[in-house]
Amino acid sequence: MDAEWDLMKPFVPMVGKEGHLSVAAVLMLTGFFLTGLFSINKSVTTAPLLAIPASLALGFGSVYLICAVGVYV
Amino acid sequence: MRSLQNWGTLLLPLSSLFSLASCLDLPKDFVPPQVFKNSNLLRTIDITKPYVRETVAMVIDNISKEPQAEYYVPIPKGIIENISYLEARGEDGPHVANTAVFDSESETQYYKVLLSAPLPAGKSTKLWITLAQTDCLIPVPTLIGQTDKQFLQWTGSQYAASAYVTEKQKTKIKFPNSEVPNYTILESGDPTGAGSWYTYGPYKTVSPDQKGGKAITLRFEYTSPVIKMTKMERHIEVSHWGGNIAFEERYWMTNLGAKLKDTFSRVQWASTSYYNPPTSAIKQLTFSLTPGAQDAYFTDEIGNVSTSRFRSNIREAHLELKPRYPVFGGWNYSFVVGWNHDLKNFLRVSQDGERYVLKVPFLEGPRDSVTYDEIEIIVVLPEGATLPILTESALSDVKYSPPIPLFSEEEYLHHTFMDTLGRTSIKMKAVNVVDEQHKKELIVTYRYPTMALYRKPFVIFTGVLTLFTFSWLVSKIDLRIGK
Repeated sequence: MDAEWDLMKPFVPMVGKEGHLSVAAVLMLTGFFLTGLFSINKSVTTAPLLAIPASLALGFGSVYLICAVGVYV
Repeated sequence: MRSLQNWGTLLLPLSSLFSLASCLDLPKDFVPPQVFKNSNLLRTIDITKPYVRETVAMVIDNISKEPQAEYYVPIPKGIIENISYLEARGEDGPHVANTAVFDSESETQYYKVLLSAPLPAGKSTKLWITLAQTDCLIPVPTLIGQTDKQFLQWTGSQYAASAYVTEKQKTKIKFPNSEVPNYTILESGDPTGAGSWYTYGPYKTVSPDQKGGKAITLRFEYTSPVIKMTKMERHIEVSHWGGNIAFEERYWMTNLGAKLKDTFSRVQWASTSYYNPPTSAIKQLTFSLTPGAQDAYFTDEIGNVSTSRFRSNIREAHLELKPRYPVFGGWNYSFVVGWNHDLKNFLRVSQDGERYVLKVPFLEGPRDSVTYDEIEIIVVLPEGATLPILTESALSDVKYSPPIPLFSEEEYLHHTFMDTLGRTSIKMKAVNVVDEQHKKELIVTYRYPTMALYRKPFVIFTGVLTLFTFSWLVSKIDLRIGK
């Protein structure tokens, strides 16, 4: 198994520990900003354009936020 | 359950010893065939630690007419329960050692050492057997004063236990220091030696019927506490999102040394500890962690224990703990320590990015000598790391190879923050472990598809999007009355 270990490459996370807080902050703020825009503009065309990016930003943002505060999920 | 055949290729040959599955049932009155002879034997007994480590170096001759590969090591019934490990080694590497279990009424139990290559008739070879025996040192006297010296007593046998005739043998004993007030004198000039080394023997031909010969009892000063972890739980949690590996260890510690004669005097303790004299109490534990450790903590039932120091730099990481009170003989203390690491030093990924190999220390206890009654190692893999296929095939996705034989193992789902399914976890239990097993490596291989990685943000994404949709629908309901 050690041979296998030597052949493999070290694991690199998408965002390092030092970047968690800033990434989380940017994503969460974007998410909340888009949520705000969504709340004042609910036309059929713009609603999905705001809701989907907002959900994505909040989804990834909350994962990084929980990591930033030390609960590594 | 994984197949034992897989194990064989993954593990060190020695680790199949004691594993219950490999026990052999031999008849009750089994006597090993007299096919070997020990032409020379040197037994070294090391009692400098809270357990006894015995190394037997010998030259064995095959006196039969056939090549022989099975060498039996007898262990008396009362001792076999305390054997932490038994390893056998030859000139060219380790041999496999198995417990051969008899009818439990039998007075002598045997370990079977399977020589890696059968020994041809008439030839001789070297064989080393190492074993550790726990719970065999007793404090004498059992009660001492707070600043008194502590003495431990060990009782063993004059001759090395062997199932074969031994032509020449000698026993050397290593004490922690030169303070040995009592030892059995067998005859004038036996034992010899001074300082911290004593030698019994040499003895001429000894047959296996003589068992161990006379009993020898040694009483010696032991300046350290006799630390025993009655239970230890080690929790290893892998986070791919955080790039972190978290270790947390829970200890239930006790001191098996001499108990206090009088009540504990805090004043005396404070005044003498200024000189830092040797004591039978546990006043400090030092953990040498893998360099790079961060965010260490030390807590107990009450909360954070502030008497700890954590020093970490690129070369070393030391966690020094002082329990809330000095732990004297018979006293207990339970505590939790934990720390984090960057995952990149412990985890590697295959070229396709879905297969991972995790390599972590199996045990990382204190640097002080300790023994463990029961240990539980839990490895929590990320959520969605694929469960092993239940059929016993080599295709099993999660594989792990513990460095020591396990008492039991199970796989289960661990539920914690942001989990929907639960994280794939492995729980391994081992009993009667000594600190020599520290720093041995545990390797876990698992498969973690990219889809599983995105489960957490996806779940939140779906939840939030549902809220958006719902609020949008609600906003479209026309509640106006008339037109």
